[in-house]
Amino acid sequence: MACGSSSTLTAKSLQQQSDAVKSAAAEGALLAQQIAHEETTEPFARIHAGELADQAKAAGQSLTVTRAPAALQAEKRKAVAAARATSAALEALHQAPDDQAVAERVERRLKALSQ
Amino acid sequence: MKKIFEIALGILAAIGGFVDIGDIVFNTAAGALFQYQLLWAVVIGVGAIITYSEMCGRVAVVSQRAAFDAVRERLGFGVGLLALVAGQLVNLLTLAAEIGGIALALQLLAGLPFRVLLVIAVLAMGLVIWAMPFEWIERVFGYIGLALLVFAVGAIKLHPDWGGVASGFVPHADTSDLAVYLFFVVGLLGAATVPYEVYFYSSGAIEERWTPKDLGINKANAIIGYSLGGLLSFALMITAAELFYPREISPETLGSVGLGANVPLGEIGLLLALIGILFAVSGAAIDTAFSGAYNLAQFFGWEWGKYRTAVEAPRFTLAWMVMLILGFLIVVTGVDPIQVTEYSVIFSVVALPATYIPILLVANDRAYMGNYANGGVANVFGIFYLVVILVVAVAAIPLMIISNMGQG
Repeated sequence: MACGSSSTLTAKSLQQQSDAVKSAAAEGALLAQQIAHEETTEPFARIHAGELADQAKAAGQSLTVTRAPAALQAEKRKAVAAARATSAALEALHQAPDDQAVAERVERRLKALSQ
Repeated sequence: MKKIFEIALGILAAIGGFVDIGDIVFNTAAGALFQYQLLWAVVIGVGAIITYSEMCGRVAVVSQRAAFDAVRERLGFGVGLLALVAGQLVNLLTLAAEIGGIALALQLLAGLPFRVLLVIAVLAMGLVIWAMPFEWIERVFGYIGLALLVFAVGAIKLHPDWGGVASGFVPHADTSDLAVYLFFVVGLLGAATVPYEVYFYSSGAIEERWTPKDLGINKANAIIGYSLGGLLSFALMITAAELFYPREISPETLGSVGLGANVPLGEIGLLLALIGILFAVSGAAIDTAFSGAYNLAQFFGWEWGKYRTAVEAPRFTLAWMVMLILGFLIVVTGVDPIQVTEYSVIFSVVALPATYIPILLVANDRAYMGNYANGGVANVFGIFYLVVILVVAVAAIPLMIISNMGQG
């Protein structure tokens, strides 16, 4: 489902974007697991990893362009960093959709990011 | 064997109509968000579409009038025109979503650029509609779409909590966000009962030259076909409930749906799921393109029917071509086909009463139907589901706003 954004960040929208990033990370971990076990196809892995990377990137950008009140600044920085890390890990999967070693590394990284 | 082929119309309508991109998206998202809690909404949706498809199939067979003939005659030209415009807009939005869905499924299978696949998708649809006989369209897309049954196998292999599944058939809302829950109820009911299904079904009955002798086939088509569609919806929801709900994954793409078959069943599961999605969504694209053409032709009294050549029914032929081109133009602008799907389902809910009320009225009209008019059982179900449809039609837009399109 689509994600929204506003000019001033609220606790609710921060939570929504943060959840969207965690969702992309958790799903990416599942996909990486399939690649690591050679149980998926290369086009599917490449395209779907790219979609998930875009989701994480969009959530991060949505957070970046909004102004956060002082009380949410620290949380926002953490969420933006998580979005960037998730997007980068998924991008690595997108670039090497049939590399089992990359997939194993990305799976561990995304599992941690999804917590 | 002949009987098996004869129920193809219902299976096509079920696979390519019931299980279209709207169902695939809403059922998967509902399972991921609410686990098994919304299974009951699928049962209501299946009941409604069985009841009204059987009714409009019977009306078509007995009176040789398809759904939009009845709409115009019962609502008059002015209100009928309004229903036509609303129906066509929803058809067009749905068609755009289905064309986008075909390209997305092809992309997941082949990995080629989306826009290239959009062009291939629309050209392939045009070619299939132009060249393939109606019966073969039904069979090819209906039966290959059955590959979606892989989700039923996947759901079982994921070892669901069957007690939880059973409790999902009893309406209850164990959630902190009731508006989102209700939005999904509306979405699931809307996805199950989209108007183009009955337009296509009733016109298909005339395309197939059914006579009153085929009323048993009509009933079997509606019951078996849509029940099968319901089974596929359950499977999608249970798969998402097992795989995505515990991991707090909010599936947003067709790729997520494919992953639902990939994880429990490996590469073969993934390929079957993607092929099933491709053929189901392609079938739905054909249904909607035809429905748009049927509605226009029936409303304005043009010659129509796939069994007629382009020379015999030129405006009908032009109408489905224009529908395909307009659907393509909407989705090629870069809008997200999944978002288009969500909007098309919600707006179709609003347009539902304009389709279902005239069908119920005509099915009760003994001047039209003679001895084949609705009996007591058909009317009890018909009125019950009409009330449900009216409630969801009124609630759809407010819930869309309050729930922020299901985002909470």
